[in-house]
Amino acid sequence: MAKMMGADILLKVLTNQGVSTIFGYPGGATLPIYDRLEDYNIRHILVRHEQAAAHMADGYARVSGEVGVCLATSGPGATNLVTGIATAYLDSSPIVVITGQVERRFLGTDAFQEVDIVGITIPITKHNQHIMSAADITPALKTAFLLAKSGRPGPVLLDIPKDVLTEETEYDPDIEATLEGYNPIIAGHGGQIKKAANLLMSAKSPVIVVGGGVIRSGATDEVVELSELLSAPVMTTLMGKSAIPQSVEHYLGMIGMHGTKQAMDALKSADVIFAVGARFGDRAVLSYDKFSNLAKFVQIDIDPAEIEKTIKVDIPIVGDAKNILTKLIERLKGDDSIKERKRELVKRGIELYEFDEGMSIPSIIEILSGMEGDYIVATDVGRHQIWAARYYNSAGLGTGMFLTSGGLGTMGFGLPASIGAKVAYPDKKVVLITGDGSFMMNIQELATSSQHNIPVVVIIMNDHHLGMIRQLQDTFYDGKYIECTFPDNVDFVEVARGMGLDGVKVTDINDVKGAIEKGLESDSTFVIDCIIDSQQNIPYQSYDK
Amino acid sequence: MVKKLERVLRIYPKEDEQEFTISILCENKPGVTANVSNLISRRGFNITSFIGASTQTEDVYKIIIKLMATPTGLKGIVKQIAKLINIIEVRNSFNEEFLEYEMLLVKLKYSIEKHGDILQVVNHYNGEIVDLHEGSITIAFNGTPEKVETIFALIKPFGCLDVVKSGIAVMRKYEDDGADC
Repeated sequence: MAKMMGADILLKVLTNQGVSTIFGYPGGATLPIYDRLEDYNIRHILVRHEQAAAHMADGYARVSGEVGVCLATSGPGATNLVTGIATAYLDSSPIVVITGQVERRFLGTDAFQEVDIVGITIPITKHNQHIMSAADITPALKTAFLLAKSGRPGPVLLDIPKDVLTEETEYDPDIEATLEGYNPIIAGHGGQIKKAANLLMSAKSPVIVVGGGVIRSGATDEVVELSELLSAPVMTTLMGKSAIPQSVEHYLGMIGMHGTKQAMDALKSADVIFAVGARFGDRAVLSYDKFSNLAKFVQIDIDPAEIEKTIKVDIPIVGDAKNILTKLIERLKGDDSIKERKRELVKRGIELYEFDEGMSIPSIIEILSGMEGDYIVATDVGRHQIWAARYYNSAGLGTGMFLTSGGLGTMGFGLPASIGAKVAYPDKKVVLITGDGSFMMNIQELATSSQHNIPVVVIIMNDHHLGMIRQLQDTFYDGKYIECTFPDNVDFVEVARGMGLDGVKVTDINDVKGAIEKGLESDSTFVIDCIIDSQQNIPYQSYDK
Repeated sequence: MVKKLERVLRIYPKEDEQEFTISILCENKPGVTANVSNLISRRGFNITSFIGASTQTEDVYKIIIKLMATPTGLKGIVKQIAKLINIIEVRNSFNEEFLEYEMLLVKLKYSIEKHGDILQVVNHYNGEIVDLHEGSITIAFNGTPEKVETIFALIKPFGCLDVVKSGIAVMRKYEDDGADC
């Protein structure tokens, strides 16, 4: 067997795993990889900040379902990835993170650009590992891809010292890694499925709550079939936003703090809440006491640790959503009484924003939504994110094509995630809805999009405020606004032009549609700076009345 | 004025902390203990005893942790530990009968006048004198944690120079039928 350098083995295994693109930023410790890169059929997207590399891999993974890969050097390169890794972890996105590390003989000496990234990322990775010899690269990478993608997906980090990358060893592509303790449960427990079926059969007004797990599992059709079978309305969490086609009439929108009234009313009148791939986070549930008392709960999740994590569950089923729903539907169909259960279903009355001719976030989102394109839509974090989740109800929204940082709420996620998504689907239009605060957090990636010609339509909801902070100060701090205002000192269109792109500033609501159309036609990233007049807060939902 | 919103301050119901024991079978890989203790510390719980050593199976290690935690918190910890990639099995002592055993190694100030008194404790509790130097005597005791506490209380007045406890080894009283050990 021929001897190969660690860096070559790494690139070879990546190629064999089907990796066509990596997002990265070079540094001293990863130079052996970059030195060998041109010999392999891998596209490297050079970012402008490592955090963006992690978000791009994340965005790529979310839309494609394939593992996204990012690469950074030791020390600051690795720590810059941390926010991106945590974002992927909280939203269960499959990414493999490769970090360079100082040479083995310097480990633990606080050498130049040394940081214990494995130690730092323990709580925010599904698994992480030092690779201490070139012979370990193949099994460790294979394991990393398997772990990232299987069961509940998540980020896996591999930390490789520089001298491991230059070490020569025999390359055996067939080495398999054993994972004795890793055995994700896919098939649901038959007894539990039977119990759930019986409960659903006897339920008077069951509802289905769908989370991001349905997108990861690809169980959209099954959820829709089940809801029709039971005549049960469907609602989603923020992460489940694009899990159900907008054309399903009994899809009632989003639950939670900023959900729709219809969804909250349906929850309140339900006697069985059937949750699929949703983890009942605090923003979705509002009050654990009140939520727990609403109805009987059935919870399907692939991660046993999510069962009963926050609320008491009557029938838990651990396993893959698609697998379990298929079996459940089979069982329900076998029962004749299910046909007599046909009930009148509540139809969704899509909440429309009361147009007042002014520039407001919801009205711009409605205009975009009304264009009904099959765009990939990404958001950043803040008021625009929630307005987008409420009012972007376009029939063109495909499954898993709404990208948002739901768990961590990472401002600056949007632009890199949209670039990653565009790399995964070059033929689809990608639209980013962002705010003036969030956009500024990774604005440097405009240069990446410009260099690699990855076009994204950027709609900035520029209200010169940190809108969500303003809203929270409004609600909880008696309207005392502290440090939530930005002066009008940034011209986003000029910034875009400065990075080789173009854009337009929009101050009249009647010009918005034209600007978006222009952006969609453009073959490079187009920045639409929408100057927002209104500071309208998002309504809160509650369990009272 | 916008209505004040109901806010969630604490996910878990208010509970008192109790002592629990977790027994873990894991692969002998770097970072396993760091991963496990991280899951405990991030919830603000404290480990009171932590031991780990090899088992009858090659490359499989057993870790036994005693900790102060709330019952709901413990459930979360056990589920999260089970998820760790290098963990083979986790059990908690919640509903099981189990045996506990501990070793105490103590170095006392020694003088010929104290000899009789020290020896009385050693003989009564089946201690073993492992080392004797001028001015110091080192003795090992074994027993349940309660017994070790008693011995320690008796021996403390002699003047302790150093004390080491092994940490508490825990074993289930009964194995499942047909389980091969």
